[in-house]
Amino acid sequence: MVRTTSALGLVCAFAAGCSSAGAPATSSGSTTTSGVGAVPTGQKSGLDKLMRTRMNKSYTQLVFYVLDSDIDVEPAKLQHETEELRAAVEAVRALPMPPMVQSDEAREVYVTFNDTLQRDSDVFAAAVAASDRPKMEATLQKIGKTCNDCHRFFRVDVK
Amino acid sequence: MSTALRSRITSIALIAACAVVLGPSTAETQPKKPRYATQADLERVEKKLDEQRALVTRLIKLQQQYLQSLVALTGEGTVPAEPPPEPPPITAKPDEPKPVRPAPVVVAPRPPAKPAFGTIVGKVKGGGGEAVVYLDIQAPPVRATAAMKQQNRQFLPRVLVVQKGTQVDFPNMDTVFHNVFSVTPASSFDLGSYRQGESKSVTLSKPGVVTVYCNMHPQMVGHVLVVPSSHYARTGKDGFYKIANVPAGKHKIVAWAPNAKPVSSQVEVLDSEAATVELEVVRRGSQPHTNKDGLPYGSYKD
Repeated sequence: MVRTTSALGLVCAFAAGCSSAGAPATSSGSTTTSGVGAVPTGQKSGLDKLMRTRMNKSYTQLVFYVLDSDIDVEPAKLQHETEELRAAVEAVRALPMPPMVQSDEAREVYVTFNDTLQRDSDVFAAAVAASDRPKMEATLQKIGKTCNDCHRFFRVDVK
Repeated sequence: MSTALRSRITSIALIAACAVVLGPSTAETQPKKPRYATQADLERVEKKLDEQRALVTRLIKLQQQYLQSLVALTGEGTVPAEPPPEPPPITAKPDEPKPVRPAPVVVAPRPPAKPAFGTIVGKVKGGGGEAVVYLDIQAPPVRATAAMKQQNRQFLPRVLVVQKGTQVDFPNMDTVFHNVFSVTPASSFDLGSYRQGESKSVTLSKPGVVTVYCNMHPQMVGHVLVVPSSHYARTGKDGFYKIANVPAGKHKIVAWAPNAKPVSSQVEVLDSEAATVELEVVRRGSQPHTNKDGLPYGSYKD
């Protein structure tokens, strides 16, 4: 029960964090010129859509399979969602950075989170391939922590 | 009688004489007797064994030298200085198979331990883009130089971060005289007044904030932050920072900004992981200060 509650909390935090990623910055109408990969403010980036439709979905499903479900999940389903998650992480990396990334230092922090996310999703995929349940659980929780850390800094409405 | 006939008769006579002298061969006619090992045989075998033992010892010594050269290359592992003790001599017994000695066990040198490093990322609130984050890790002083110019009656840069042991130069770029001094405890100095084009320096060896002023121009204020090691970062204008290559372990992390008290926190850095630390500093307004004699500034004019 404790595990389920904590896992649900992780999912909720993740879902809340992803819900409006890439939201417009406060100075609407202007164009952010500083920072690498900055996007014009006042426009919704593809990051928001990607988070809602792909990243959040696959991560939530994996949390259910690995942390919450008491039944044995079909390996094929686990494999499928794992690949979805990895593809979503790849897609995030290909998108422009959110408008909150203003300075070179912020860019470095954002890239660090992205790198960590990609590495951990690869580690998770390896754990799935090896049917290593403890590794899956630990890695999935690390992925959730990275998501929350990134949202804490690069989202206005999530603390 | 012809010559050929005489020669044939002579040959036949010689063969017959030889047959009579030599007689029948005893080796072919007598049965073979069993042959037992004599003392000489045993000595011969012992001698062969000694030769083989000497050869094995020589091979072991060669292997020893090879391993030592490997260790010297990798820098890890140890090899016993002496070769392994020689096994007891084997007693030779005829018609018994030779006992097989186990091959000497060779322990491969351990691969060098990989150093563990991680990263710290985060944000400092309230620093106004001038905050500095550093780790309280003690390191030997460095031999480096840095400069804080006096230009347009200001210190440039206004905030300078140096590692302890750094020599800080204060070149005067203005057309007027300046007199750089500090009353910071344990780092106080007075460079005296000097003209344009001249430079004076001071070596800062104690970690902490050294506030510098000019004795002639009260508006001139500079901050030199002396940090204990190379593990520090200046924040961006939005407060973000990243410190890479941090040794794994628990560390004290400190954030500082001009006119703010340093704030600190504990952070645990894991190998190849990124730890996140958020800090907040509270900046006060710039405080009035006195001249190097502790007196209010006079009405000095250029």
